[in-house]
Amino acid sequence: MSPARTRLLAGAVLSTGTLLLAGCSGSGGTSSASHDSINYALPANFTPNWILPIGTAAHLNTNNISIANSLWEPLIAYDGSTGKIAWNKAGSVATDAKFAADNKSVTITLGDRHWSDGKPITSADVKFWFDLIKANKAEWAGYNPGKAPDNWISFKSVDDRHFTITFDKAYNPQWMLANELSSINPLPQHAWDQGGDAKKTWTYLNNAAKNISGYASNSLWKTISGPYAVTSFSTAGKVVLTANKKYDGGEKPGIPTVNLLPFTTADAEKNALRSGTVDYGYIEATDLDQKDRFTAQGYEVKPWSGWAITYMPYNFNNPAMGAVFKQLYARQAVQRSIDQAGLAKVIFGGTAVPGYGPVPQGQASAFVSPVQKDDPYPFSTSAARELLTGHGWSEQGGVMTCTEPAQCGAGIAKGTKFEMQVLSQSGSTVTDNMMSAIQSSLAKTGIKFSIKTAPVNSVLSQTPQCTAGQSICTWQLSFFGTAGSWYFSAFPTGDSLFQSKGGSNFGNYSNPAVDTLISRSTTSSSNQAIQDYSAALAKDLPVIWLPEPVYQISVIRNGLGGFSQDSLANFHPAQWKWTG
Amino acid sequence: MTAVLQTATALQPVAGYRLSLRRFARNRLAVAGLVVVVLFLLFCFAGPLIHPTDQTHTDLNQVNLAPSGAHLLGTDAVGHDEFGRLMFGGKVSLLVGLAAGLLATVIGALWGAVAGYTGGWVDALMMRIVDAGIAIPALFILLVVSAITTPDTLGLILILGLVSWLVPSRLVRAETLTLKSRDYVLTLRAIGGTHGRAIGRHILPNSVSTIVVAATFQVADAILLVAYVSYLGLGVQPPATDWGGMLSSGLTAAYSGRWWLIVPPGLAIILVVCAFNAIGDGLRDAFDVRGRG
Amino acid sequence: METALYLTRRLLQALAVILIVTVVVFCLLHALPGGPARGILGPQATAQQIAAFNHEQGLDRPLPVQYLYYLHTLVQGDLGTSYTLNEAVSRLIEQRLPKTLVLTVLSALLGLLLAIPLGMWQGVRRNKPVDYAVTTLSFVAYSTPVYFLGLLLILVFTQVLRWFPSQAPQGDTLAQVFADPLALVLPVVTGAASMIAVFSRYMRAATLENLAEDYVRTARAGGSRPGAILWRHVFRNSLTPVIAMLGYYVPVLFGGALVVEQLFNYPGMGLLFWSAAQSSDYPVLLGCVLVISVATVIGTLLADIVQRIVDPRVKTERI
Repeated sequence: MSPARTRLLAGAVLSTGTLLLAGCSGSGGTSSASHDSINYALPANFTPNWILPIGTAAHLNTNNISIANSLWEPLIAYDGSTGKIAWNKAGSVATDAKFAADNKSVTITLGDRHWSDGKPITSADVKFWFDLIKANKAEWAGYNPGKAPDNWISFKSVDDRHFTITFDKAYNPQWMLANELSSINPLPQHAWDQGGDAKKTWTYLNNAAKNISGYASNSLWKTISGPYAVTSFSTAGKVVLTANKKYDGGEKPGIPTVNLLPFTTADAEKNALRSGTVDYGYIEATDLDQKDRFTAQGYEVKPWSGWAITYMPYNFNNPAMGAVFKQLYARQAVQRSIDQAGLAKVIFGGTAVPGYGPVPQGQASAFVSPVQKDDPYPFSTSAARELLTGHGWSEQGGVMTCTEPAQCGAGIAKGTKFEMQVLSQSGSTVTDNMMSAIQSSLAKTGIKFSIKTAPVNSVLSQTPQCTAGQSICTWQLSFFGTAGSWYFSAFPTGDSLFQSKGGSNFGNYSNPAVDTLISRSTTSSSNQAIQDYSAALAKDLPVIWLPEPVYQISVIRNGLGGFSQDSLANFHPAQWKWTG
Repeated sequence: MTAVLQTATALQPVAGYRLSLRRFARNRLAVAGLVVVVLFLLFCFAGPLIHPTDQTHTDLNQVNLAPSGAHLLGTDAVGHDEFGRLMFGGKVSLLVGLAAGLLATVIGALWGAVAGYTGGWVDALMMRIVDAGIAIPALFILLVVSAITTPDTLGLILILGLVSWLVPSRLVRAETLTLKSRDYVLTLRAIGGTHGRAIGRHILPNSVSTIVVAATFQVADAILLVAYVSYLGLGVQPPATDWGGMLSSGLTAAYSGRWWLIVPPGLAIILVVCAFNAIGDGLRDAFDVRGRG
Repeated sequence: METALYLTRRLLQALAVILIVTVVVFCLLHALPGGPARGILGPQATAQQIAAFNHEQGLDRPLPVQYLYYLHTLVQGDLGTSYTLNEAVSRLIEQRLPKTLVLTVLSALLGLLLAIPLGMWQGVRRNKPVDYAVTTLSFVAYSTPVYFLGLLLILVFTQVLRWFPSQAPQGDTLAQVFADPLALVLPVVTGAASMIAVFSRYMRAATLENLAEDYVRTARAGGSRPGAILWRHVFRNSLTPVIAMLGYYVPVLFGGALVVEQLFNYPGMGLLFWSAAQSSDYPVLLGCVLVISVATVIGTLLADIVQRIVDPRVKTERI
């Protein structure tokens, strides 16, 4: 056979092969899931590596916390697992929280609960956590100077099942409950305390937690209050949980054995899903047209929306474009060039929700203002162009250039081109497609948008808060929101994001009026304050608002039910049940 | 007698080339490879002039269309015409492949020739540097570089060339070692010729066949390397793309049956790399090159 | 004696190479702007937490000090602790390396088993139609990007034909890995594919060279049967240099292993390296690169020694 024909044959085989697969629907995987166990797919490239409910920021991410909370039940489980963001009392140790009339203290009542070794859960266990965090706050993941535990002045045990925490000033009770009190896990003081020395105990516990191979065997981890215990925990990330028979709380585990499976890539997970070895997994937005195949295999596709917002921060201190970014009309022109509805529909296949402001819009809530909801800056590249031409910019060679500096604004030299570059997260085709589409629509306005990608950790390292003189301040826009840029606690305050000098205010956005609104939202007792903040930022555009993608597009085997997907991105194994 | 033999060996390269060309022409695989390469070069560089498409702007109303009259190979996930994108990406793949391959060969040949000719501790040092270069995984260097700077086409050529020059250097050095002990070189040195003359007029010209064969294989490897690099996300940035990038984003659509995003770039890579390998093989047989090239 | 001197010289040089590698890699890593802190701790970390992390990991000390400290711990066998995996790097490598070795050794074996007879056959049947066909097929195998080939194999053999599982063996220990041989088939075949092409090419070239050598013509003239000539002389003399080339293939094998591990969800060294790179996990990155470099240096050293023994021309070099 001549070489040319061999090549043609090879090509034909390849095309036929792929065509065959296109038409092929998966041969029905029988729903032979054993009703005693469930296989849950962990997010791609994530390995659980921490069992302790306390620890440094490096260890306390949502998946580790989900596992830890299954072993040591939270005091106040404030999450979205009931279908809306509220206090899930069935999954909490506390049964009631009464705020004083002046909102400067709260008295909490514990339920009649016991540890797995029979001892009752008392205020002493809560005080144990309180003292540990107070003494080691610098190393605690949840610490923000001025917030918990700084603003908790004192802890007083009223009796075994009642205690009072006093604050430094009056706070919005819902905020205090949802964002601060919800981080408390009662810990077994009788088993873990090292002679009352909080610093010594913290070091002791953290050192023990550094040994993953000991998670299944170390007796420290056997004194639990939650619905599950760890039977095995491999360093490769596979975790097996078994139901805690001594659990006496409100969320009894529905499935005796829970297997948490790690996957190196989303593709590997999808292959496993297709072969039927995963009961609760996920696919990506680019796979949505295969929905029917999964339905035929006995799965249901259920997008898991997250309590988050997605955006691209402007670097207001960037030497080249900072002055342009500081002009509101310029930001308005950029925002009006983004077709969020088109992106959500085409790029995300309908699994993203357009967002116009700082409060998540994926779920209805009392926090979002009508101004934000109604989109103050609808998509219109012609309106965007008018904004620029009306402020002294004119198009030269396809790019808007400042020809009348007096109109452009302070600090913008004549001849400045409206060009900006984003450092975007790599590894996601959906994100790449979204950036290409944004680049294209910005080009229609005359704004040149170039894209550079890097792994998300690199993006975060290279786009920090900076001042104009620093070499690291060359970044102009960044994007780390493939799965949502920022997940909020239940009460979505913007203090770390949008307050002047906020810890995660990477672009150095600063607006004194907004600062006042932010502090008012945590102290005032009505929701009007946070709605005002929502309206203000929807109009002031501290960042480029983008559609909020779902946390994951879950694919769940038929028959698995009894739960809602928690928009705070935690999973709650105790709620999963095989029905029918 | 010796003088005649010397002149004969000195003349050999010239007569040899015509013979080699004839031998090459008889190798049907190699000729087919040459034809394929030329066709692809025409397709990628002259094609857009005949069939222009917009590869910079997206069109969200035309995504994921199957092949039709309007779009010969359908459209991709953001609305680009895939046929035009094949030409567009091919420009980058071919350009970077050719340039990086040639760059690697040139650097490698010079390095190897100097090292092999000089000998002694200089040779040892140069070759240990090559060993260090081989020992550091190229992937690591690619990762680090792409995290710091934006790889545009030129940058990509430089980076890929710089990680690939190590193998040709060893080849040329081995060839140089053989050649420098040949009679005519020793004679040249005996009558007072400089090192440069020896390298320039005898070593390099006589290694040309080895270098040319190495260059062809380097180009083939470079095209594969570009595809590998783009698969890992370290290649050129949108809207620019290359066949590897097209293949890797097309592969996410493998189960959706959008074969037109996968088969064209995949086939293109296979055909072109095959072609260069066939040419290199043919050249090697034609020049009768020895050694483990 | 001369050989012993040569060996000592090369060994010392090998050590120098490894040292150079550690310096280069260390500097490159720390040249990355921003440092690993923000990446590890996430966007919600405060400035204090970042400072605490940097201090804890010694990242606020001057670079040469950090390097010397790294060497100091390295010599004691301590490769540091992973930032993200909460494990000692040496333990991680201990767990993952054998799994990658299984994959690469099996792929190399399969590749060689197929490439050597193939190459010899091509050399003997030079320029006949069979040679063309086999050469073309091996070209195609070589020219197909590993991830493309892997995906095609997955699609055909695990989704359509369902002969093999879509993932490589998921066990943690080697015993568990070998207990699932069906799952090993596709990953090994994918890894072997490009090796077959390259090594059959070498084998073909070596066979051609040896067939033209004087001793073969002499043997023929002396009346030996063609089969005996092939096997006794040509095969042995072609094999050694080809095997020696394996030493130079360590980095390539590793690159291929990375893709195969990604495709088939096989947590080995390749994936460890790749996820460490994605998550700025410096200690693991350094550890992986070190291991690969040492393996490469050893491999190339062995390759050079073998080639020196086999090829007399090379013996004249003084290094």
